Amino acid sequence: MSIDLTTEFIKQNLWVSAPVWSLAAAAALVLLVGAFRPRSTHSLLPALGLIGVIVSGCVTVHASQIATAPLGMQSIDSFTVVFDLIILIATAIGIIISSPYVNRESLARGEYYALMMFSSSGAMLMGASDNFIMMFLGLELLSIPLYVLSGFRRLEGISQEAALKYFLLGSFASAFFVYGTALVFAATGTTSIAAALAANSGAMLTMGVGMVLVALGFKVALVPFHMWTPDVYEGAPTSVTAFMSVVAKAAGFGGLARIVAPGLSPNWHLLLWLLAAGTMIWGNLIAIPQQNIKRLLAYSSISHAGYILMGLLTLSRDSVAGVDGMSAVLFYLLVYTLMNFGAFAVVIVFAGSGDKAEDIDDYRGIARRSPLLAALMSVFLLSLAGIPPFAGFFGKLFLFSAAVQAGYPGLAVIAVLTSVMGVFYYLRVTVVMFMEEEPASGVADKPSVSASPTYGFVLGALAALVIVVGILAAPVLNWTAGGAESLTAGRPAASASVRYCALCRLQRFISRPFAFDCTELRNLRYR
Amino acid sequence: MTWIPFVLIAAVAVFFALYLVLSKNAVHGALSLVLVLVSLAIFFLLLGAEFIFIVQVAVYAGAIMVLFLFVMMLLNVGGAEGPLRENPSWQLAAAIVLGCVLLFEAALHIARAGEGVRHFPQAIAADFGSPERIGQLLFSSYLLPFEITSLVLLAAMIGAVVLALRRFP
Repeated sequence: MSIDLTTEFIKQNLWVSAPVWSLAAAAALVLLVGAFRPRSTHSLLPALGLIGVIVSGCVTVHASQIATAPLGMQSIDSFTVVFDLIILIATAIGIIISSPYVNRESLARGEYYALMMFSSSGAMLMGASDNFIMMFLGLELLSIPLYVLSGFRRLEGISQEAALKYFLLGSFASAFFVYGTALVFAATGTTSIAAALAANSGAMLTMGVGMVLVALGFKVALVPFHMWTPDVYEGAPTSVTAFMSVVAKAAGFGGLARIVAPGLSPNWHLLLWLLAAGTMIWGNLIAIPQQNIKRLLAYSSISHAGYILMGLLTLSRDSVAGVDGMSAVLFYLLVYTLMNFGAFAVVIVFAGSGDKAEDIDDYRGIARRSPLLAALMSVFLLSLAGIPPFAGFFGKLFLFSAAVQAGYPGLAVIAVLTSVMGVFYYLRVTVVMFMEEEPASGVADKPSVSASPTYGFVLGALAALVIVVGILAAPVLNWTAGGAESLTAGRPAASASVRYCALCRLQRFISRPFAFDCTELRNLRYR
Repeated sequence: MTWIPFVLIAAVAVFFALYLVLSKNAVHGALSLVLVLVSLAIFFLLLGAEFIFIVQVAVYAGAIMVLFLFVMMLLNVGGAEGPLRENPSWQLAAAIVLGCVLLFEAALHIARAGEGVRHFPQAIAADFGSPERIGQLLFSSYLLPFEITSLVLLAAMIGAVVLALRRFP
C-alpha cells in the first residue's frame, strides 16, 4: 500500500492533527515571547496562553467539520471534539490558576506555561489516536512536560523528589507501553488499535494489550499502579498538582476509551472490574487517615479514577449501555475538572506564600477568619463527595446507573459504599474548618486569608459552574453523549436515545424550569 | 558458508559480554559494552537489516555509550578500584536462577520455532526494511507520528534547559 504525497493527503493530515499542532504552536509562541520579553512573564504570558487555548478550541471545532478521511493514525470524530474541549477547558483553568501562584512563588517563566500547553496537546493526542504509535507519542508529549513541571521548584528537595520519582516510574510505565505495542505488533502485524484488537489471536496479543493497560493505569493512578501519586502530588507545585490531577487523568482515560471502544474480549471484563473495585476501595480507605490536604486530594483523585473506570468497563462490555457509560465518563471528567481545580485553588490560597500551611490542622477554625473561602472549599469538597445539589452528585449518579444497566450491580454497590467512605473524609475538612477552634497561639499573628482578585474570580466562577452544571446536567450530558456515540460507531448498536433519556429522567425533573428535552436536543444535533 | 561470520561475531560478542561483567574497571567495562553492541549491530547486518544496523551503531554504540563514559568521567569512578560496594549474596543466587529460567525460555522458544508469532501470509518484499523503504513510509503513512515526534523532542529539550538553569531571573 503506497500513499501518494498529494496536496490532498497533506491537507487531510494537517486538519486531522489540527487540535494538537494549534495548541503546540501557541505554546511555542508563549515560549518565544517569554524568552525575548522576560519582564512580561507576570501577566502577558498567561493572557497569551489563554488566547492560544481559545484559538485552539475554535480550530478543533472547525477541523472536525473539514477532516473526514480516516488516515489510520488519528481521528477527529465528535469524541475527539468533546474530549479536546474538556482538555482545553482544563488547560485554561490551569493557566488562570497558575498565574498568581507562580508569581507568588517566583516561578513565573515562559517555559512554565509553554510546558503546560505542550502537555495538554499530548493529552489531546492520546484521546484522538487510532494507533498505538500515536498513543505512545501522546503519552510522552503529555508526560515529559509533567515530569519537568513537578520539579519546577528546583531548589526544594520535596519538589526534586517528586520529579525524580515521577520520571523514573513514568519512564517505566512508558517502557511497558512500548513493549506491549511491540508484542501486539508481533501477534497481529499491525499497530492500528481496532485492527489489532479484532485479530483476537492468543497469548501474545493478550500480554501486549495487558502491558498497554498497565501503562495507562499508571497514568490515571489505578490501584496497583498508584504508589507515585501521593508523593508526586505533595511535592509538585500546587498549581501543577491541580493541572496534573485533571489533565493526566483525563488523557489516560481518553487513551483507555480508544482501546476499550472496539470491544475487549470478555476476559478483560473481570480484570477491569477488579481494578475498578480495588481502586475505589483502596483509594477511599487510605484517604481517611491523611493529615496533609494535598495527600488527601491525591487519594481522592485515585478513588475518582476507580469510579471513572467503572464507566469505561460498561463501554467495553456492551455498546448500548456503553454509550451511557461513556457519556457519563466524559461528563464526570468535565465535572471533576471544575471541582478539583476549585479545591486545589482554595488550597493554594490557604497555604500562603511558600506553601506553608498544607496540613489539615492548619485549616482549624479558618472559617472565622475567611468565611467565604471556607464556604467555597466546602462547595468543592461536597461536590467531590457527591452530595446532591452539586454537579459531582450527578456525575456519580450517571456513572452508577450506567454500571447497573450494563449488568454490574455489584460494582455499583461497591461504588456507593465507597462514596459514603468518601463523604467522611471530605466532610472532616469541612468540620475542621467550621466547627473547631483555631489554636490560640496563632490567632494574633495570622491575618485573615484573602484571595487575590484573580482567585476571587476563578473560585466564584468554578463554584457557580459546579452548581449550574449540576442543575443543567441534561444538555451537558447530551453533548457528551454525542462524543460517546461516535466512539462506538463501528460496533453494532441500536440508538441509545430512549434508554438514555430514562436515565436522566430525574435530571429533567430537576431542571424542568429550564425546559430542556433530551430528544429535542438530540434531533437538533442531527439536523 | 554464512555461518563463519556469524560464529566469529558471536564469539566476539560473548567474550566481551563476559569481560564486561567480570571486569573490575568501569571504563574497561564500558568500552567492552561498546564492542558487544557493535557486534550485535553486525548481526543485524547479516540478517539484511541495514537500517537497524546503522541505528544500533549510531544510537547505542555511539550516543548512549558516550553518555555512559561522560558520566563515569564526571563522577571520577574510572580508577582501578574494586566494585563500589559488595553485592549481597542473595543477588548471586537470584541471578543464577533467573539466568537458568531465561535459558530455558530461549531453548523452548527455539525448539518450538517461534509459535505464537504471526506468520505473515504474504511474502515479504525484497526491499523490506531497507533504508529507502523506511524513508518512504516515514514520509507517507507515518508522516503524522514523525512530525509529532519533533514536538516530544522540543518539549524534552525545553524541560532539560529549565531544570538545568542556574537561577530564574
